[in-house]
Amino acid sequence: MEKRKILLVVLLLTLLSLSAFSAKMTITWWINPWRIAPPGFPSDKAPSSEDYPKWASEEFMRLHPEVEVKYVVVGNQEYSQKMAAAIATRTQPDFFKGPVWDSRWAQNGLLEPIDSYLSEEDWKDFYQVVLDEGLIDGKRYIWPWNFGTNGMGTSMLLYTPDFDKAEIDWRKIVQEGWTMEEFVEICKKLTWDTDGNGEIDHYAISFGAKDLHNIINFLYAFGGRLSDEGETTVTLNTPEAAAGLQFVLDLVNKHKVAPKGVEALGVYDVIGNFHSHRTSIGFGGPYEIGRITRYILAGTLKEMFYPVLAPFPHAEGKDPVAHTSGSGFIIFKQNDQAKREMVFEFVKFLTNQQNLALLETLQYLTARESVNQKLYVNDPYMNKQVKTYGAIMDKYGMSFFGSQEFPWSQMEKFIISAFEATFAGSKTPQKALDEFVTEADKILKKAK
Amino acid sequence: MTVWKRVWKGRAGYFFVLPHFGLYTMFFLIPVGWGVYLSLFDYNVFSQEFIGFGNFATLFSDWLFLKALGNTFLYTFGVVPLWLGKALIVTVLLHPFRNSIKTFYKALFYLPHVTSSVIVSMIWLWVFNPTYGLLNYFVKSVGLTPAIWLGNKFLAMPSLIFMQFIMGGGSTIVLLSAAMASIPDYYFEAAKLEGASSWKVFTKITIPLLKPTILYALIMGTIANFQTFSNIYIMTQGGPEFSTISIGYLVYTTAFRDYNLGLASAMSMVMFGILAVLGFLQFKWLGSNVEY
Repeated sequence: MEKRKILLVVLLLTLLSLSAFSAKMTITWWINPWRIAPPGFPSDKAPSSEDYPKWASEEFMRLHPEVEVKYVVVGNQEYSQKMAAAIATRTQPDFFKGPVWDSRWAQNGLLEPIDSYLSEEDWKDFYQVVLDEGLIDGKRYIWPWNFGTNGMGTSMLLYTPDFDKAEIDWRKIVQEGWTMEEFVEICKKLTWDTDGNGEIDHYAISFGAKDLHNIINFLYAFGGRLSDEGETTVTLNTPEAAAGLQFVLDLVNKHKVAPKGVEALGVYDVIGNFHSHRTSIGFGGPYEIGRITRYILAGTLKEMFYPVLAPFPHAEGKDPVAHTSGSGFIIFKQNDQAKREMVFEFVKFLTNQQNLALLETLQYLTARESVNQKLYVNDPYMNKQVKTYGAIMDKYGMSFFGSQEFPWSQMEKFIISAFEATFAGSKTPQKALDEFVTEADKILKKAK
Repeated sequence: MTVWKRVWKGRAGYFFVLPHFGLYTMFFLIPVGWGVYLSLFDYNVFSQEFIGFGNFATLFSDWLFLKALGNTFLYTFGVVPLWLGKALIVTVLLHPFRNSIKTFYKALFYLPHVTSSVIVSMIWLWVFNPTYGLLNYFVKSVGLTPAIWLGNKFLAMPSLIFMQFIMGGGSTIVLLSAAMASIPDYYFEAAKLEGASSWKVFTKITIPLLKPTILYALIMGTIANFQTFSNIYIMTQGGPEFSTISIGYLVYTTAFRDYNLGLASAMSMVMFGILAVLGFLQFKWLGSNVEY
């Protein structure tokens, strides 16, 4: 009887240890929709948001059979609420790439600092601006992946057939830039009545009050800044900032080169106007050129066109400005050392030179300088646009929305309201910005 | 008889109710209780600190919350009477027709109810587009000045109410039609024989006999519209100048953009309290038994 008991215990222990050895380590990651084409993807098809994370997960599992990778594609709109719910219920992924993150996550010890996992080569190869994107209290929390966003607030897109029709030398704009005065005159030439019924139906450009990056570029170009150097007070109501906002307002009301109704429009209305050639100047970087290709492949846009990238106009005697940022993977705190190592291994796998280059299919610049040098070598048009984009960010790049510790996301609704009031004519630019600063300062003081 | 004896006597009934009650507890009572608990904390995902009624004090001194509260009342009391009025008129107009025609029109009015509110909002976003929208096309074609429907702080809320008035009320029409069909015809015949006008028949017979259904539609409509979210989220994001911000939308942004779950829970509790009071008042003023 005793022997039988001992045998049973030994057998159970053996089974338990075997199952422990055979249990795979599970890594879960979230990513928002990035329609990247994985290697071997048919060129005549538009990749879905599932293709890239599926390929990457499977490829990593092939290299590491002891690991099971689960990916979840989370839509941009619901990302914030799903992440908040996941953190509150302690069911967050091991790491993620998303449109949102909050510096308080790092300050409250929810994230892994990445500094010690970056190799010497990584430190040299990753752009400093992207490395600093996740810098909080001297530690970095974002593993760099892409350089620049979709290019909103960074560069403009010119539909060259309209420029040719209006006899405007767009090549000069691309190479030398344009002053605000030149910009206004060019916009006037690009505004016309297509069907001859006496009403303007084609505009040079369009704006949306909820399309913040592009309007804020003008505020910055005139010398406005969101806050002082130490981020102790919000300063976007200086006379310079108000002049920038007044300039955009004048484009609509005084020069009539942009359609009215800015207060009701958002970024997709602005993109739609450019895609349908109701406007000649759009916004964005190579990613927005890629959007044209994607819309064509998806059947939502009929005719392919090839806009060129140019800097935003600049105030006399000042440089243009360009919103520049980067993003990457954020790793949640891991209690198990072996798993932590494996999560970082996966992140390194996703951002090695070969895999990072896949961002090319989405017309994004990568966070690695070495990879960007080899992008689009067989596509002279895209090669040129990417070089222009890189040069604009390099020369004029700055972050419009403060450091990661700056509570911009809570202030956003108040600047949108200020822009809506300005374009609806219910407040002057100065009064609207003053009111924004009052509310934003309250938020800043509470955050500090 | 003690409580336990009474429970034991009715054990079969409790047994059958138990699965539903279990789910109700799990998916409703516990989350609501948790919401009440959270509303007493400074709970922001990262830290939890008990602050008693601090969140409520913050709310009632916050101009944005008070504006959202006002907007929500405006929206609810704008939409619900219009819905009910529309549903009553359509129901009375359809009543004399044969069943196939009634069914066709009821289906037609009910159709938006089964369409995703997101899709409906997207379509209306195009309808209201200031430059290329359908509404301004008609406005221009009759020689009027086009308006910026969702960009003007005085027009945005009426535009949303108008949209909801056009698209909503389908389920109320179905409910009222069913209630109307159950009213015995001899009431109407007797009224006609006595020489009552159509208006008299409508106000003295139809409306009083439909009162329980109207009350139900009123309460459900008030609750649904008080919590409005998706159309505001898609179409205005609370703008312009917060003229369309609703409590539902503010709860969402406070919880999931600012990560302030405690404050958002307190907002939800205020919303719950207001709806409970409104429901009570509607029952008290309009509730009456109807027998026929």
